[in-house]
Amino acid sequence: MHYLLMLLLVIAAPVTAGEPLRVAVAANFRSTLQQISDLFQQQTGQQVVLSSGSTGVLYSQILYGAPFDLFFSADVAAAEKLATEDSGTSRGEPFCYARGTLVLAGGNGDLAQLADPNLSLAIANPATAPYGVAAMAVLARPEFAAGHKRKLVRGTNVVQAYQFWHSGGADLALLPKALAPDATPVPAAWHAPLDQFAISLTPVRGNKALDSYLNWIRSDTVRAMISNAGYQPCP
Amino acid sequence: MSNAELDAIGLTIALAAITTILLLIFGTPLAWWLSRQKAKWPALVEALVAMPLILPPTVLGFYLLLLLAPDTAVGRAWYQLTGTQLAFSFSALVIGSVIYSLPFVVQPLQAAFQRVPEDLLKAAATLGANPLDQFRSVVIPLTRRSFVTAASLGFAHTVGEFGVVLMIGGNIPGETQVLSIALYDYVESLQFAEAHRLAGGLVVFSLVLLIMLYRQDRRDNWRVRA
Amino acid sequence: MNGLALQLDCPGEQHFRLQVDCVLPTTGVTAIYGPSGSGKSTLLDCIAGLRRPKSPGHVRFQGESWMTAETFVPPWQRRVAYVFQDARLFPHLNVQQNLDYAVSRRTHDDGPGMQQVVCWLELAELLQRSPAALSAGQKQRVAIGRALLSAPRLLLLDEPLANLDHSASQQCLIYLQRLTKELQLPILYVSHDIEEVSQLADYLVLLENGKIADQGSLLDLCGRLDTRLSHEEQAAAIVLGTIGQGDPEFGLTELEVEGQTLLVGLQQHAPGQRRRLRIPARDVSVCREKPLDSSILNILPVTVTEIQAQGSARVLLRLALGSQYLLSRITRKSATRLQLQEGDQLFAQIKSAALLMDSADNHE
Repeated sequence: MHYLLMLLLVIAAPVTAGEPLRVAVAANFRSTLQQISDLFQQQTGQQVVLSSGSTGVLYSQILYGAPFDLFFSADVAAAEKLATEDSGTSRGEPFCYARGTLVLAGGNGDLAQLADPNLSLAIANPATAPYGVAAMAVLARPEFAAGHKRKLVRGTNVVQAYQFWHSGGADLALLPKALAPDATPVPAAWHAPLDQFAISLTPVRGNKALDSYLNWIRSDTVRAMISNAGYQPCP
Repeated sequence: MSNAELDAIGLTIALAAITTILLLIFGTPLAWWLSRQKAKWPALVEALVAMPLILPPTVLGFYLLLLLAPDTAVGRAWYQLTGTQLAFSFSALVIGSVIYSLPFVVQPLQAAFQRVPEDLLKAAATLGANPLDQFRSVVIPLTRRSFVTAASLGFAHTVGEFGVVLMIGGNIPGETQVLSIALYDYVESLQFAEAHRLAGGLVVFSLVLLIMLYRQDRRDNWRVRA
Repeated sequence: MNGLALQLDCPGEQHFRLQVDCVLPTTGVTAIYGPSGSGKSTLLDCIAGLRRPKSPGHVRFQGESWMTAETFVPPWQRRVAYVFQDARLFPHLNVQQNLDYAVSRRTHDDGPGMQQVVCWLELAELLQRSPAALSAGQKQRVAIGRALLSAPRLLLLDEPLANLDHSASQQCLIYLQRLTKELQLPILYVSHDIEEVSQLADYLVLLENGKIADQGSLLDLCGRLDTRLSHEEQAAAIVLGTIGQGDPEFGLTELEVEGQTLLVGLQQHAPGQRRRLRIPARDVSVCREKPLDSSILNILPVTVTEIQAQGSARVLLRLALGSQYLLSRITRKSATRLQLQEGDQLFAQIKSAALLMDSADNHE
């Protein structure tokens, strides 16, 4: 579906704007990156096309040749694997762009709810989403052992987990702070750090658009936007 | 095969079987009613029945997600009746599948019922058969084959269901992780060996089922010709 | 409160409307006769309850209301059996099962039994066959048997012989006659074939354009000039006579009618039996003097009671023979030449007379 969308956009893009930049972004970061890219587009006229999904899904698509220029993963592993893999095109060095925070949304906001087996909980699928892995780590803690029998609902990515909770289907959800800014934060020590890394997938040298986009990402303005969205700065 | 895979297969078969049975029970009178209507307004009902044919399963899934939540009338009524939550449950999948596979059961039945000559039913009426009796003693024997067709289609269609379950299932192993979702999971997380097992198994099963159905079909047709 | 009282207003296709208000007898065979499109099948459908006429209206069978302005008894509760033109045997059942279908649904046991019906209609060899393997005539016999086995109070037949070829039709007619004789069952028989009707009916209803043009006993209506019957090509009077001596040497049988003797083709009937005789109008000529050397054997003294012109070239005569009547159709030229007038005493020469098979003894 992403391919079709990109194809259509490529066909429809005005000649003067040149080729759009194709960016794959983990679901949790999408809305933030959308704002960042819109600003970029306004200032430079360069079109940026975003495709989002869970980190694992995007990773396997790229592995099988999906034509993205840039990938914003929700962890470090996917980006590093892509960097070391022998793909034929020179890929950049992975760099950290944000550190994510896990929050508990729903109910009375008390983390102790995670011990209640009567409350259903939505998380992203740990097989494909780093936030899901983090959620599982939190749930494995001894103080929440009593909640083991709860109904655990898994969304294909963090956004679907959010939808499950927001539509009222699930009582609670463990989500990225970016999706539920007012929810109760989960102590960072309870899970492996959610350091989110990005990696360029096509050569930056000679690609002015990609180069300036990457500079834009590293700029102070963007850092502030990322921070406002609920992320921590990189360590 | 791992437990998860066996669970997925078991769930899928249970879902398809229950959905098919429910559709036969409720779809038969609906198809019969539609086949005997001469007025124009039943076209609305026919259109509603046919909607799942046209709409993407995700549309259905989307509306069901909203409709079956605990704070809606449906969710609350379910809780009153059963004491359990409807959202992300096997029962929710059954509801979704019944709607999703409805036209696949109702339409073949309706077409078959329409082919039963009204004249035969009138003859039965004069011999003392009331409408239910007419249905049982004349219509069903004459449309037996389409019941098999409708049931097979309903079953097969439910086995292949993906979009709806993706939207409302919640991917819970042992409860809502049906075959198509488990397969999707495996592919996404690059566990190709498991994916092959499930997918290959499904292909073989479908092939065997279809061969059996078509062979029976040929046998019946030969008998009629003789 | 006897009889079948009908008050029906039933619209059909193409602006057709059946409007009937009458009482029909519920003994013997009543034939409903008319051209196609006159509403005969609609009438049967309304009586059976397969069609619902407009309100108000009523259908009452021997005092029991089947339909009034407020109520409607459905067909499966009326105990009215219907033999359709196309037999309508259930294709998924063999003959025996088709018959059993009727038996298992009957609400009363006062009808003929399986053995009897199979015997009357000679269905024994057909029992295991499927309807697809039967000829049209055989199917119709099974249909009749099935209808009888439902123990009805009224039997309706809608042109049952129409789809049969001549020999099958004659065969079936024999079976039907046997039935009408054996059963005490009122029968309504729809047909557009007057010869068929003449073989079976006691009472006749003439239907035209959805309305009843005339009704009365068969003998009576056939001998009148004021119905459309007499104006048809095959118009024929029907007289009732008693079988007399046989003349095997010449292959003839005597039939005594109103004190006169008629000679007809030899039949295997016992003397003393009452029989109907069908005498087509075209086969009756008249003369003032009794011819002495004619080849025609049947010459009877009659009185002209009515003369009616038919078209520009022909004339119909109603001739009284005792208390019964004959019809004669002659050219207007002859009528003028003979100066025929009502009241004239003439001789009727009957060229051929068809002796009708069977006539139940409860007539006249």
